[in-house]
Amino acid sequence: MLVTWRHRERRGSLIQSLDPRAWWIFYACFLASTLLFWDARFLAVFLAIALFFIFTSRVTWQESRRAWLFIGLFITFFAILTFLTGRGGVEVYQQEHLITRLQAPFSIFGWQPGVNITVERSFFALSQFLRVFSIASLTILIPYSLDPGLYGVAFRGLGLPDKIAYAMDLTMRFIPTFGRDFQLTLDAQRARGYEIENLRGGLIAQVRKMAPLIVPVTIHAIIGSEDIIDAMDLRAFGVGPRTWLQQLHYRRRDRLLIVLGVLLLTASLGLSFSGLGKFWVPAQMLENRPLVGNLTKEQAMTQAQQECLAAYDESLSAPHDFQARQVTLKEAYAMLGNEMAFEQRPPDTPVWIVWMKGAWRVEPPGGSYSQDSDHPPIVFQNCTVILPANDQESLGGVIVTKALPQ
Amino acid sequence: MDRKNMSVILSLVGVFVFFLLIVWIGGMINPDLQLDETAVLRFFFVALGLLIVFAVYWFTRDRDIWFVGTREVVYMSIGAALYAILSYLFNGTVFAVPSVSQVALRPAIAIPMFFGYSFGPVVGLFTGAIGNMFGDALTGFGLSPQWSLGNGLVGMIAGMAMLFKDKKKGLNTVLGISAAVAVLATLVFLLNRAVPNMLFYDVENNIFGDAQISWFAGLSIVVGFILILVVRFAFGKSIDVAAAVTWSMLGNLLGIGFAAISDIWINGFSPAVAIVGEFLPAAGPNLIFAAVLVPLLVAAYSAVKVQSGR
Repeated sequence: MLVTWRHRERRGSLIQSLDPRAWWIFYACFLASTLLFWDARFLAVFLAIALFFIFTSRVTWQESRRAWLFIGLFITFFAILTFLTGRGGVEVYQQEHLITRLQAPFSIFGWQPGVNITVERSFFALSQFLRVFSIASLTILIPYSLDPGLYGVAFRGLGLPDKIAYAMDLTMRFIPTFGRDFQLTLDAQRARGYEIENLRGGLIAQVRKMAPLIVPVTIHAIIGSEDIIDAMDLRAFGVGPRTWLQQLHYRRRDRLLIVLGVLLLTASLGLSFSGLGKFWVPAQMLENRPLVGNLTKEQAMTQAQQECLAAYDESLSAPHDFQARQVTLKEAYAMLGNEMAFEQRPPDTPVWIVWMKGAWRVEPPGGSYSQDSDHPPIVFQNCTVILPANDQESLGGVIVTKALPQ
Repeated sequence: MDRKNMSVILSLVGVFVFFLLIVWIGGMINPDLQLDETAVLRFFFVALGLLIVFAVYWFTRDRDIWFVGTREVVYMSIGAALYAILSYLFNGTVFAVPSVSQVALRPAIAIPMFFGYSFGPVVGLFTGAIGNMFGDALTGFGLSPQWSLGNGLVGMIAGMAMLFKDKKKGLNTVLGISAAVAVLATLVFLLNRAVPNMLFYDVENNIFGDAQISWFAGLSIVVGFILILVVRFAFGKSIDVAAAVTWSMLGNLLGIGFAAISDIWINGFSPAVAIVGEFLPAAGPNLIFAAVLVPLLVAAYSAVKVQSGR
């Protein structure tokens, strides 16, 4: 069920040849450094470091398969969740560029489920996957490669007080034990007809029905601890400064690892403080992709300009005299004196209405444009665009033009 | 002992000042140094939380509630290990966690509350903070040290009940503070009905932390408060149960509140989102567990205590 601590001596394992204190320091530096970055390129470096330690650890797939599958599924699940929702991404990017939109072929009560696949979301999910996978894979290594007999002395060596170091040691040793106790209790209760997978009743009834699992394990653990407390008291625990059965000595490779860890952290902090390593998407992927979502005034004007360009055949002069106002859809129509239906959107949808002046040419109805001209070009000098202001589901802008022929 | 404490406090203050300097001076020179741009901010909040812990310790340092002996060391580790495993079991990947109207059932929080109340603030703090860290490590899901510390505060504050020899004392004050926090948070909810519930994921129905918070999730803190009040007065005779639920409630409100509020800066949430979208759906249901599971644990433990003559 749980990751049980499967430590054993492995010949030729790099991580086991290192001092556990050095390993914890490196691990902490690695963790803190990973958190500083959202750039997939930087995170790939961290993944490479993690993979290096995994492949030199001599932990076999056979013995660690379960842990990898569990964590792999968990992380993939969350990466997909992030991808589908864009959840969490709001912190690191403000606008999204649409690649495509998947729309369900059916609708439920007038709501058609759909997903915007955007460049930013894809890269955010990728970054999140890299980040969490790097951290998780170094974490998986710990129970397989650190000697449980050295937990306590390692934490003591890291500067924790004796008692706290020993408490950490015990915590790590108790986790697999209690994992087994939970499984035993669960089996015993199931034999009595208890089904945790199928709790019924209201909220309070459901909470109460968790007690047959939680209370016995907790109380049993407390009763069982009497023996441990007695054993520790008999050995005069906490009376004087503690001595440890095994001693740890730093060797050259341990110092090297610590130096590498600290360097990694300092370099990461330096890069991060100089503004590098923030969320990154390849610039060429953004070209010619429409924006999604909350538009700022500047974005609304930029996008309106693109929409005007796309609606006509050619822009003859640079647009100028921009005006933009955020209004409701109803107000926007009132301004345009237009009553056309607006893709079934409710009239109080917030929109940007953007006006601009310029010169845009349109092919005449009858044929192609030429200089001589029985068919003179039609030139419009105004362009007005209505864009949904904060509609995550929208596909770019919706155009209404009110333009007068020259 | 005193010199040791001073050095710990000084180093915490040092970390704190260092970050403040980075924000104020560095931020003027280079906008990238503004802390919301970097992940360093979460460690700043951990330092702040530890300072709070030290402040509480400092004002009550002559009391024996802070004593750590063999017993406490073992209880700390049991609590942390149990909390880690329970949060792993109920995080939704091992058991499908049932959810009622947007409220997912995560009963593990009863462990730091119970251990804090029964064995003191140090045990509670260790159980919550270290247990949460190991629980996160078991699922391999990143780390948010400010939430670990928040969970530690839940346990520590539940353990502050030991300050009062007579358990009845202070209960009404604790109830009053909790009521004030609950009312304030509910007011924020009523004024910001449209905020999404950040903690609600329903994969089957394609809802991922973006559904508008339900009435039940928003008012769960009121429901929890009333439940605790019921337990407090229905079990008025067994003062242990009454004190346990009341102090657990205060710990939960302040500890989870600390973590949620720090997310205003760490995750860039607006105060309304942090309180309505995060604090309420986390702290509210926790109160329900405090009201139902903590009394069961306290009752079971007192029976054991009688049996073993302690």
